[in-house]
Amino acid sequence: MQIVLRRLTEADLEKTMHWRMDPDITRYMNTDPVLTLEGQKKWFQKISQDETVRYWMIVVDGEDAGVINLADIDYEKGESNWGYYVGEKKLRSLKLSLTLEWNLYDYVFEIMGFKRLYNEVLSANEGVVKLHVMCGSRIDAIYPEHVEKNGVKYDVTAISITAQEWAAKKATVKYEKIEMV
Amino acid sequence: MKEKVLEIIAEILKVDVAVLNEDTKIEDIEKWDSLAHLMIIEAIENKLGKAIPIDEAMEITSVKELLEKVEG
Repeated sequence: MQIVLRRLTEADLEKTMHWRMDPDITRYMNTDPVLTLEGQKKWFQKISQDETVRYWMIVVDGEDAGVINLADIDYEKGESNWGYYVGEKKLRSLKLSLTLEWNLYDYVFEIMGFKRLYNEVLSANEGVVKLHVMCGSRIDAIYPEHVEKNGVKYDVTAISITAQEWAAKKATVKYEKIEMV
Repeated sequence: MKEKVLEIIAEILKVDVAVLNEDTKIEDIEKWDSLAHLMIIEAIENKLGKAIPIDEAMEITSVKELLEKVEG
């Protein structure tokens, strides 16, 4: 499996818009957005000038597979939020998930030199929480009824990993390096 | 052991155990995604007492390879 992360372009927006509205994806997200291509183009223009976010297309064996991003990048504190989704169902393998997560840790801690990476996950998605913990992250807090979607309130689990924690975990696992272009 | 592993896989994927055999590849079953794979590895550890390291688990691409890890 060859994985490449390339910067998201305007030409990707129609594809990513459909992925992001797929119920298979939104059930893991804090929001169920209704998107338009025009709105996505405005969003892309905005984020293209925004140094607090970075978006990449995940490409697996030459096929666009999903999106991974950093958000709320704080260069002073040396920390960032992050997230990803794999829109192509047939490519949702454990190997891809782990390889993406560990390579993003490398990027944030070793290339950007940051101290902490964090994200929030709907607690009902126990598998996703376990996946992050297996990768080396830890659970910081559980916020009861923190997110409301379609009239239903959901608990949210806050997860993070520090540079030191990743260095310790990294020494215990083997994974392929991802090319980031 | 093989039957127990197949039962675990079938239970988690919610498929008939009869559709599974050693030649079954993960990519053949759409429900066998990253989270299902994780749940299968966890269930094998909890029910059969066999822990498969996560970086070895991610290299498994078929039922045959999973059985080799469990029996190895």
